[in-house]
Amino acid sequence: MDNNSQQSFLQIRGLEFRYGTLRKKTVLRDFSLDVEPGKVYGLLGLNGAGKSTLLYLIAGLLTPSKGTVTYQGINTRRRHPATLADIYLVPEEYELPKMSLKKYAEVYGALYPRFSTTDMEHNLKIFELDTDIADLSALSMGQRKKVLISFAFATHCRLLIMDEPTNGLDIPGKSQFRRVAACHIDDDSAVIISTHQVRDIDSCIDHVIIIDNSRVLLDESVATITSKLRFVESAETPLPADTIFAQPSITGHSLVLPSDGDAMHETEINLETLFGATLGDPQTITRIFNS
Amino acid sequence: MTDSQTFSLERFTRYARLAISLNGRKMLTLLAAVFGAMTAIGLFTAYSLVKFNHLDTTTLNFALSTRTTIYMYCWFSVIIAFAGAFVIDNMDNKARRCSHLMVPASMAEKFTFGALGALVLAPIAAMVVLVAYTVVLYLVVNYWFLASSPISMNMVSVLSIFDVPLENHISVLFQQSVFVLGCAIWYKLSIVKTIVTELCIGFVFVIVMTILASNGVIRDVNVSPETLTTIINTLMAVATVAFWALAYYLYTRSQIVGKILNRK
Repeated sequence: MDNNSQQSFLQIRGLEFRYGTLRKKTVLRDFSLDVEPGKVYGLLGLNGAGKSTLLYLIAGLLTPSKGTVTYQGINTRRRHPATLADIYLVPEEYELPKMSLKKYAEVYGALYPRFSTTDMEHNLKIFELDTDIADLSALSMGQRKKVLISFAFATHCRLLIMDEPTNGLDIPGKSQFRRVAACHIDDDSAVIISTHQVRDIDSCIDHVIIIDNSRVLLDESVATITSKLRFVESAETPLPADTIFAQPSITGHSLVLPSDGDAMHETEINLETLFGATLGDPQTITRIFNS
Repeated sequence: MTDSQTFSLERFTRYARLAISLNGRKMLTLLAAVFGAMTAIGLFTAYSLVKFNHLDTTTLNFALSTRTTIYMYCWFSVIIAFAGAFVIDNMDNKARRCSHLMVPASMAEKFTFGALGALVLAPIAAMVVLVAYTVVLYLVVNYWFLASSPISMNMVSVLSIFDVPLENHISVLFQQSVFVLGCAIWYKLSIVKTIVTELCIGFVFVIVMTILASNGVIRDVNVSPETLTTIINTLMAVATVAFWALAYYLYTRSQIVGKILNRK
């Protein structure tokens, strides 16, 4: 963690958040994370697990009950303009104002030092959207999402936070999103994506965080996960003796098996199955990654 | 570094441009609505004076000037006071709160823009509305209602509204600060909630004072009217500054969650 701290620009320490009357309901408990540049973090969890709350805490939109969130050494809750100009949040619920896209880019883009209109138009082209939009508020939900994502990546903020970014996107839009993300993710920036729709982003992410019941169940890089676990589709019955988790699938079962340590036998990650395994048998998963 | 993170003129200008683009049309629409209401009521009053009272020229001019001056000052006060409710704007739902709070400008810059709007732009806009109303009143009374003798424009000079005692201006600014505090406490329907709260507090105050007076707790106080006026003016001025300061403090504690109890 110390080496990571030196490289990371976002540091979360002992984060806890409680809400409700007398603050009785705990959403997050003792959560810590270092976000390093050059990585895409996938944040997974059930409904109500606290994913959006965590994103709001990172963005400084909520005050934690305990713990700190610092971006380049500054507490994000202080909402320094320099911090806000380097963090962009694409929320799940959003509105676009009644104005043209050109005006929107002019007035909002002026507040982000590295904003590029050319890049925004390039992103819109990938999304197959016209750049000459007269009224943003008149667009459909999916179109507005595409505009917001295009603008977000065009700000070149070093930290992009996205809450369910593929929600509302049509089928082509989901692969277009991956293309736009691939164009803009570089060694200087990081992206945190919270989603239920793991298949939309499984090819993008480098690091998986799974939260449930106010705790972090898994916080590992994809490389580490695939070095310790194998994800296979199997029609065999009975299931292999060392099966950690099995989920019915069209071909029989999606299995999570422990790795045999041979890099040649590593498989691609299956986020959906991993998610099921982590929630279904958290003790085993924790033991594997702590060993 | 610290100073530029609190307030930067360049960044404030960019933020002001954004805020005007977002809210300019809404504000102009509201002003137009105020102008419409003011003109409709004012013209109806003028019509009743001209057509039904059969006043001679001098009396008509005096009636119109007196009523118009008071009438215009009331509307001027309403515009200034209600402008306070828009100092903290674009926070009435979660999506707008998120967008507003994430704009890369300091809370001081965002609040300063709202304050300038209420303290500088609102009076200017109010004066424009009053001048427009004056012109409409003059033209309609003289050329449509056909007053027996024409009224003069000077009689309804807009500047006459400032010939009121100082305590009137202080009370208007105080009322504005109440609405500023109201919009910092309640993001939705702040004007309605502020008015209801004021009425409730006023009602309770009257009840309490009546009880205290009837029980002899409050006896006759030997204070001259001038001294009493000075005391009240001073208290209102202090309260005005305090309400603005409290509103700014609450605003800096804003979170995406809209409930005041969740602000820390």
